[in-house]
Amino acid sequence: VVLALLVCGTALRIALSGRSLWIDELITVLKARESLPTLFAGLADDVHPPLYYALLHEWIGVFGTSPPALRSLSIAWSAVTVLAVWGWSREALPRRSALPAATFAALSPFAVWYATEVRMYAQVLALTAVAGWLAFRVLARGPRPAGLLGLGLCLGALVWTHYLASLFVFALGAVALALLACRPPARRAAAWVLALCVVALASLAPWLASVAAHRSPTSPDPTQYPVPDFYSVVIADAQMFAGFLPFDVLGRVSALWPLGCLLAIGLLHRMRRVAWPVGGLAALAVLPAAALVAVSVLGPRSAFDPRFLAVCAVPLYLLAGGLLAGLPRAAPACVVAVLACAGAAGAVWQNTSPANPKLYDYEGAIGRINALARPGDAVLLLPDFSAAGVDGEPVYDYYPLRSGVRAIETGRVVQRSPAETRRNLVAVWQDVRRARPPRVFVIDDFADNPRGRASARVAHAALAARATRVARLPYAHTSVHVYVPSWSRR
Amino acid sequence: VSRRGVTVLWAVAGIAAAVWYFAWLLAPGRSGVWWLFAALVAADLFNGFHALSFWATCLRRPRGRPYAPPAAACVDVLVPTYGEPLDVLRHTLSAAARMEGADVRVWLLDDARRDAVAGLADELGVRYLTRAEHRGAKAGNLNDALAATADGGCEYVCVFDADHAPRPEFLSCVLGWFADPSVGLVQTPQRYANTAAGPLTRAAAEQQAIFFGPIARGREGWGATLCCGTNFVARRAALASAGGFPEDSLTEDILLSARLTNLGWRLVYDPRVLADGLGPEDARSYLAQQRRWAVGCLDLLLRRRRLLAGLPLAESWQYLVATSYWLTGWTILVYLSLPIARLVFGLPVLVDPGGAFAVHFLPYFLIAVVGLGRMTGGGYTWRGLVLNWGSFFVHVRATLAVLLRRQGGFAVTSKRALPGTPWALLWPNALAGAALIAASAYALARDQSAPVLGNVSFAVVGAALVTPIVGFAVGQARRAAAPSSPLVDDDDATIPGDALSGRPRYGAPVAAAVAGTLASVGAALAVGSAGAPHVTPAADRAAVAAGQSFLDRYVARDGRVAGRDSEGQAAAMLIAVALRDEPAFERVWRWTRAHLRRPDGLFARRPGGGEPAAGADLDVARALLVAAGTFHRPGHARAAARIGDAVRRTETIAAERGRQLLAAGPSARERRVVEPGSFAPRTAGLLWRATRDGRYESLARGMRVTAADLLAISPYRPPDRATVAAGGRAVPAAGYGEDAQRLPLRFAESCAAQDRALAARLWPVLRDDAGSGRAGPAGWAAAAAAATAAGDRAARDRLLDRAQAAERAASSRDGAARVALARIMLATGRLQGCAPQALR
Repeated sequence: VVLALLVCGTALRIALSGRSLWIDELITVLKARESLPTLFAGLADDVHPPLYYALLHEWIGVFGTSPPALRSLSIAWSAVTVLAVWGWSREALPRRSALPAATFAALSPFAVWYATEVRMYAQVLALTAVAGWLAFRVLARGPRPAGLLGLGLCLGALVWTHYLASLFVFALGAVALALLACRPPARRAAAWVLALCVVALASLAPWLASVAAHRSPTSPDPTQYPVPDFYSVVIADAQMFAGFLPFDVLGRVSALWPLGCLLAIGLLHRMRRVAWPVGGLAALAVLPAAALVAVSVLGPRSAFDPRFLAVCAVPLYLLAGGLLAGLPRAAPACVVAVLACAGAAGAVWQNTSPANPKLYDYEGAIGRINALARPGDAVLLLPDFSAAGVDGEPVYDYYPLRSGVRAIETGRVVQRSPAETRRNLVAVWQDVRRARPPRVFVIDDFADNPRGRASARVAHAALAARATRVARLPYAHTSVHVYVPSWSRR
Repeated sequence: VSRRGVTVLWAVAGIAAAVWYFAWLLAPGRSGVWWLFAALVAADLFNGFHALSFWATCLRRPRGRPYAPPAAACVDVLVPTYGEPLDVLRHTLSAAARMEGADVRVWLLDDARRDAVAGLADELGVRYLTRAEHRGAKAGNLNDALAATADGGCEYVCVFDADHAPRPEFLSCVLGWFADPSVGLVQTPQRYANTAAGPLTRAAAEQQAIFFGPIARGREGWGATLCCGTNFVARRAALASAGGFPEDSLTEDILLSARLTNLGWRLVYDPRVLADGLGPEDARSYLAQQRRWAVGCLDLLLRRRRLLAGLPLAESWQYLVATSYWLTGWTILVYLSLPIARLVFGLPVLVDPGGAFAVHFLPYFLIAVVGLGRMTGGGYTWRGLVLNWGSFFVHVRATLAVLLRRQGGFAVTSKRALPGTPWALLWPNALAGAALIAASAYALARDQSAPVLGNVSFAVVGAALVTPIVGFAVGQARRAAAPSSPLVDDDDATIPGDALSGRPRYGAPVAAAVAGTLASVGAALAVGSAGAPHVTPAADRAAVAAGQSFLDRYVARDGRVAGRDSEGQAAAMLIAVALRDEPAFERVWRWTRAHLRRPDGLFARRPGGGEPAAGADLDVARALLVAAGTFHRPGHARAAARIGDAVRRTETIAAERGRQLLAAGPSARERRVVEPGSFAPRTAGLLWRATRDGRYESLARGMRVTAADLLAISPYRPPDRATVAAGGRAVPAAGYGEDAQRLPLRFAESCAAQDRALAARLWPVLRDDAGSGRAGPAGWAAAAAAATAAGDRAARDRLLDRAQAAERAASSRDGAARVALARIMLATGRLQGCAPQALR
């Protein structure tokens, strides 16, 4: 059954891997295509450690840079995730829970999305699953050299893949510490796991020191995320099962939290003695989120973004699988079938629906510009994102403009206020004036969030004083606006 | 960190979470509509007080241990009755007369003056008392009995309600406490044994379990034990000093407790379950019982506050908690009203930006829920909570009754399920559920925003908690009104009409309850609709005697069983736990653990290591599982789970379609050899129930399929050993010997009908053995098992007697163990088996 799940999940991922790359993926590809020394030097200004980039660099060298080739690395990692979730679930929970848990890992829209994204999250999910499986195996069966070695490597790889994956390592260390205190038979194994967590976290220290030393005063600050509230966390958790539904839908789903109280009451009889694997999984699902929220609320700047909670996804899948396994005998199989169908349908929907806030159709937008533009026209990308540490424009680098069409350099400065946006645009317009193109194609993006929309509004208002907009061509969260400047009208 | 340490940490976390929540709730700027907010705050503070009190109570450990019982004590056992069915009375009186450890004088106090009851007393040889005037309800009845027995009466007085049957060891366990001259009363738990009657009874039993579990133990630790009206022994002098049982209260037991405490007597709670009672089997009886307790306690709280004035602080606090609990219904009324106010009238209760309420409330709620589950040992489930919420209107009405001085009189709880759903009592629940759903539909039709959805969720939660009691009531009423029930039981038709005098409000329902009882007594049991297994006292006595004989003859003081092998130790553990002999059980378990346990968690056949025997390992696990519940030792359940896990890992053979077959031992696993006699499907079932690990289901299925394979092969008897072929099919490798003769016994006691059917298939085969007279004790026992599974009770009894006779003729440890276990497993439910069900 798990192999069937694996085959179905992989087929679905391959079928959905042809969509346009979005800006984060484009930046990733741009970095990975650089030489390794340049790549490592550039990561000093980046918010991620180097392991995934280095791996993708090698992968590109073998498989090329077509979207399916780029995405196949994540697809491979996601296959590992499915198998590891299966194994971890059988290790930690009743055997019947493995099937629903693996179904979540194979077919939930969230898992499918990150399995087809050219980013490090599929790797994070896979390493989380393998590390968790190995850790629980060590804790349940005692420390053995092979298991400890594998666990150490996984934990190390995890923190070198994403800085915030260290939240998982921290939570695993807390679980080991609790077992060290409360469960004498597992003390030795818990001490080993705790030590490996510490070693993994410490392994990042030299890199962090190097990053700090190389960071220049002009390096942009990390992105400022909104301070999370309760509903942000519930929405993030809902996304891990339902995928990237529109935010208003997820907001309404999160308002149903009191029903969770009913669930807790229904499970009252199971609270008699919470088995350590269940408690451990709950800690792995809750502690990283709690830590991230605490840091974001109490720290100098918020670092809360739902995708950073990807480390909680696998423990949540296992817990949900355990919950479903407790249903009467025939029910889990029916529920799994329903989940599989619903998950696959949701994954297809989120890959094609413009309502998915993470879908950015640069490929469609640039393709249309290339079809419409004539030599001499100019293209202006209104950026609302940082592309620090890369040389060149990630969008044009991957989706090149046709020859004769000029891309106006925008400087890629994050605009923190409408005034700054306007100032930036006026400065850029000076370049446009000098080139005097007959038409200017303006691409705006991030139309899904208020800040992106505000920036676009300000920019278009400033452009309206200098050119006439003759067409607007919408794509998923990107739009192409065709302006005719005053000199062309004359 | 010990388990208690974890509990302490949990309680500290709970207190911190409560402070976190209330600090947020009571901060300025939270209020929406002020009066709704005030109601919420009042309800939350009330429940917060009770939650903190619960944690604080549970953290306290009971004081002291009982001394040895006095050598020659005399006890007057008082059993008041007022219209209870004769079979219930017969059971209680018989059990009371069987109590050991003292000179027991049983008094039946019949307030209904029924001739049939007098006849029953005469038949059972118990003393019969009646009185001319029904003054003071139960308390008056007891006081009159105290007066009537004062002259030459015993030093101790023991009280049982008519539906609470003591176990034989009741007095042996309890009287030791009175070595302390300051002890005036010893209370023991009330346990409902009729939980199979339906979800309502089960839920009521859960409520009892939480009260008589962590709460009563904690109260004992705080020195604030309450008398609970039945299952207690009191010093006659203490009762006399308190002026007897208070007759002016519906909760004479609590009032008596306070008076005794004020007089300097010590009340003790002994947490051992020493009596089995009957819980209410229909909603009317349950709600009437709740109303009586609520009115009585609220009367103490609201009208007799002086009573608490002289008590020490800890005891005052515990009395306050016990009596104010019955105001909970008001808080539930508030919680049910708030979503309706918001959804229908748009009245907000709280200012809640960004889900701050959830952030502060959820930790408090979740810690409380998990803590409740932990501290009650899983004995309290959603059913108990549903019953608590479902009784909300009873609490409200009880408060009003006390305030308006319309308390009514003492209502006897019906001992049988009453047919018909008491809509007159349940309409508030139905109305509340309907109102919540209607309010949700109304609001959703106008607005689907997140705040509305949040309140709809609260409405759904409220409806889900307040309405299931209606479903419980309808379900149990249907069961009570089964068409096969008899219409009238003549014995009880003579209950006088004034049985409910002084309780006009509940008079009619309780009278109907009694009348309904008449309509269902007898035939309900005869057709098995009551769900209780058929166990006769004589069979039970014979089983206990056989078990005791084995323990006396073959178990040494240090817990070693003659023969010093794991099979004997396991048998002794099973017999000891079946006889509720905790000291013997612990001794045998300690010796087994110390001398036979291997590093892998299994048990060597003999001291000094060696191969384990799968059958003995499973029996040890079974004994521990039963002991965990019987002796309230959760550690035993954990140990059993570990053994089960080890058996599964090292003594099973994987077969096709996910089945697991029990090998004869670890080395036999490689040779794929099984011993059908070691198959114990009921043990696998109990392990599944304890761990919810589906692999035990596979194990039980493997036992069943293998046994079916083997019984299909000529000579149609199980072999001592068999080998398992590659496809999973078993092939006999030996004949039908003493090892295999265990199989019919273990399958006959299984709770799965398919297993019992397999054992029944052996009856035509083994009947011949019975006729030949060649069998030894094991053979007779096997034949008795097959007869039991086939539903032939007479043959069972005859064959068990022959087994015992054969064992006496050629005494051996194995024979004695086999006979004792056969009697226990086939004729009683003491090891949680289901053999008697085949005889219903």
